[in-house]
Amino acid sequence: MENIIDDCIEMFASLPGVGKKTASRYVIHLLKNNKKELIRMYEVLGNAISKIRECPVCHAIIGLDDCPYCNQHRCSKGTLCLVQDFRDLIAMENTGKYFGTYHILGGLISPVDGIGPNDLNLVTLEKRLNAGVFHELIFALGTTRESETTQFFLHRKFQDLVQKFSTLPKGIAHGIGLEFTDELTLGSAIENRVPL
Amino acid sequence: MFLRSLSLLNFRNHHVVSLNFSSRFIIITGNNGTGKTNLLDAIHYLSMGKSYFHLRDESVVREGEDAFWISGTTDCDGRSDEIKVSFVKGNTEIKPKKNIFKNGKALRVLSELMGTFPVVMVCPQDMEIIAGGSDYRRQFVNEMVSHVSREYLEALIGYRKILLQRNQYLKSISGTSPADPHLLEAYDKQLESYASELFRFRESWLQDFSVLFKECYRFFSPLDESPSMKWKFSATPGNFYEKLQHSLVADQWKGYTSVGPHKDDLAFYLNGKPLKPVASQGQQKSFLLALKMAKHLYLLQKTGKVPPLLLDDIYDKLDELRFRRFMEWLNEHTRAQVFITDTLFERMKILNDRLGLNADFVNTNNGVIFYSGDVVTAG
Ligand SMILES: [Zn+2]
Repeated sequence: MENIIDDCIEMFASLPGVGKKTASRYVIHLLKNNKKELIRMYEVLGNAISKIRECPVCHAIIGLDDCPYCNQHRCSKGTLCLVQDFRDLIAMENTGKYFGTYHILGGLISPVDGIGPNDLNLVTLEKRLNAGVFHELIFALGTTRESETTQFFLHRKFQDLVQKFSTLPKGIAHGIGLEFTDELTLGSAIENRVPL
Repeated sequence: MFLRSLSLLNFRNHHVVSLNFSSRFIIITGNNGTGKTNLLDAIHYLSMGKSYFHLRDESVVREGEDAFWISGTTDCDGRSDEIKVSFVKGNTEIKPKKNIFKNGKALRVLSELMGTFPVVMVCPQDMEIIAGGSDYRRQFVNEMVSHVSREYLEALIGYRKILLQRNQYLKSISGTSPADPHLLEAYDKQLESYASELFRFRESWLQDFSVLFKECYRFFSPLDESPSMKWKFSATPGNFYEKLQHSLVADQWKGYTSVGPHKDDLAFYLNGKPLKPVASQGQQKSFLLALKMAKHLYLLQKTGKVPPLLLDDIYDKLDELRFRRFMEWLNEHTRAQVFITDTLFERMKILNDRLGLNADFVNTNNGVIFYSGDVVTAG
């Protein structure tokens, strides 16, 4: 019995921002409540596991249907927007100012954190760029030092595959990821992107 | 600029300390190990947000406690600032956390504190600036320039972070695969841009500083002694990028970047010859004191604030003549607030009376006890 509770606590503690103390509070709360809540969570999450997947092309988190971010209409715009993760894709979508496709890198290069070029979704990116349907690659990676490194690296690596490279203007507060930028600022940033 | 009050909680050996200062001279006496130097280091924390002696925040928390707290009120021509530094140790639940507040507002980055309360520490360990490795001299310069230029500190932090990434990358591929030329170019370009800023600041710092330094050295030495200093740059903006490429093979093997501003050195000379081998102990001490005096004048010139001096145990380390000249300079040529620590109350009392310092006295032998200047009769 003790092991099961420990396992539950471990599981919650693995979530971002949750420590052991908070995790134990969650577990005790869930076990006390007549298990009703627990069963409901089990169903919802189980459903999610069977119906949610990663798009093999752009790496967005999607349902069982075709990827809404990779459809014909979006591809016809000819622009590919590079973002760090799915949250940044959502932030960009919320501006209502961008209509092309995305590619999720899955991180930024930071050897100190154990992330090298091989840990990013670059194989799929290269394949997409090689297909020749994109005339512009937009970097929307934020303005941290790691995003500067990653942007410079990708710009050099793919300079022969794309005609035009652009990036969001520095208006976004230095050192802050896209996630924390408000919609209006981000919307005007994507409209006023600067060529590299 | 004056420090008007200092309060501590659980800082090093001190539990609770609360002091108010009214005099320009504050003399702190007490036996070794009673925490005189710790009081000066607490003041340094208010200036730079960290220990002068490279102690980790964790290690300055009083034994058995989880956090320390330092607070001080400064006064600069009637304008008062309240600075607080607090630190809480981490554990399995929370990360260690340091907070710096200026007038009640939490600062986002350390660079916002710079220039608020510049101080000049003088302590026995400073002989390393002359005798030790180049990192002591770079630190001496970095601290000074950071107080007068936020851009410098930010370039320094940026440079260090990218350097760390580059070194880590070189280590991670060492022996397994060749470096990715595009990624390396990304790091080298970023380093180059920070490095050229550091180079520019360091050059212009030297121009201003060496003039002040030469004037200060005159205080101790005959006119025929000519001291000077010169940067030995590891690379210039013109050849840094090239040098990085040249040393790449060796660097990759070592997992370490061997050229750049982190390898710059400041070389000292006396009469055109390298200082260390030709100068006597006394001349080296004059040189060091002149460096500190010039730092005081440089900070004054650039910030418009008169930086307090923190003199740790220097009476024992200087000969009578140099000590007297230095005190004379402090007393008659500056308006600086001066904190002095010493083991012996009696000789400080004599010094106070002879120079008419009208000092406030603090004694650390049985807890921290304050004596107002005019009621001091005995240790
Ligand atoms: Zn997709």
